[in-house]
Amino acid sequence: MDSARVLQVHPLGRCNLSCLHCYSSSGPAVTEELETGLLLGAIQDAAQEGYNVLAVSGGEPLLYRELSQLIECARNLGMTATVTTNGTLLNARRLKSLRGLDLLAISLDGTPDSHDRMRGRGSFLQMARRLEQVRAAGLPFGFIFTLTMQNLSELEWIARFALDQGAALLQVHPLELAGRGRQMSEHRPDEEELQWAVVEAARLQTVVGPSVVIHVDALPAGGLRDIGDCEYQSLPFAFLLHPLIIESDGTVVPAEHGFDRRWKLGSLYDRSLAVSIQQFRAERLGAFRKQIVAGALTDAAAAGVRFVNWHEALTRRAREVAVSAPNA
Amino acid sequence: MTSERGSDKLQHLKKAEISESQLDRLAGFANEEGIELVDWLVRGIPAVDWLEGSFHVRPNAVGDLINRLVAEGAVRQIVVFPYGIPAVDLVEVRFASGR
Ligand code: SF4
Repeated sequence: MDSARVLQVHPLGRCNLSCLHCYSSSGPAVTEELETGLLLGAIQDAAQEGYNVLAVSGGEPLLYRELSQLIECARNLGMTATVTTNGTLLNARRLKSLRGLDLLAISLDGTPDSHDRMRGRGSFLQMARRLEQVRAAGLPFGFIFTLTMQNLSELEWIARFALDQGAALLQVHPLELAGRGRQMSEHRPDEEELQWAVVEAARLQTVVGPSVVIHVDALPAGGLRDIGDCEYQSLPFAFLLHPLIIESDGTVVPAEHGFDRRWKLGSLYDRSLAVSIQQFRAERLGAFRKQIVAGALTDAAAAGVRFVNWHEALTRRAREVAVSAPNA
Repeated sequence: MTSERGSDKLQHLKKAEISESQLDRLAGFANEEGIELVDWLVRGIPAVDWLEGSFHVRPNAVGDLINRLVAEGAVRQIVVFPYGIPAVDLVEVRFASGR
């Protein structure tokens, strides 16, 4: 099985929306933007290390002028390319620049009212009225739903909407407590709610049929294990640490946007991704594995949960652990 | 937003039962060629009230496995997740049953 080993890139912090739960604290006034040359180099390095998916996020990636170059670069390297967008800025010109994309993921946070509450008035309509053009362009697309403690009951509405619109994917992503999302801690779905989400998603899968794949970003806790020492030595880096995140200030971190800086691999402005990976692998991967991965596995086992939001578990563990990392 | 759980509004999630013999049959699928049981969790022994699991299956065996899972009746939720882009070479079939 060739699993997805994701390089997640945030080329800019700017966005036309300012959603309440935005984990990257993006908005119209944010100016941070990565140089295209640096990103293209990083994508090449990542492909060399075994990453096989480029996921471009933001800010709003449609505002990044050289987006098509990133997609083309990834495709030429044999990677799958995806873009996550709020969908409100999709037009014929931008859709043309997305040619070759494997998946356009559009954010959708519930019924129109709920969506607008999170993302600002009118944002549902602005997004929904672009969908016809997306279909006409023949781009495979899906929706990403941010699961909170309160909104699982809206998943059925979304699943049916996704089916009606011709979406190929409905991804259920638990709210991340990073960026502005940090203000929403009481809305974070707990493990019990995550479990219900898995079950509800499975039920809805039978309702909508196979044309829309419903996927919950949660792993069965019983299936989690650390890989052995031998594999650690021999496997390409992408198998050991994914997703790898490049934030809009050039910082490279594991797992999730906003991951504890004590575990950053480096910055694209200081050194290439290849060098950062090499150094991290030689000097700190062992400690990461022991302190963060093993710790998160122990936490999950101790909590006795069935499903784990694994990336969040790593993020939480990294925050909790007192680390004696070289670049702490 | 209210502080009520979203799942509290989903009464259809709070029913369904599974018998011991159904449990055995489901586990038995895993012994067949091309089907690997990768995850299996049961709660409520001896009276099983929750079961979930997943199989890894070759693409050409998926339809048959799903039909058999559905025929078990108590398996109310099934999700099929293909791996391998663009050529699907392995399919994960997850299922859940019970409260
Ligand atoms: S969540 Fe997405 S659409 Fe909303 S502000 Fe953040 S980057 Fe923009």
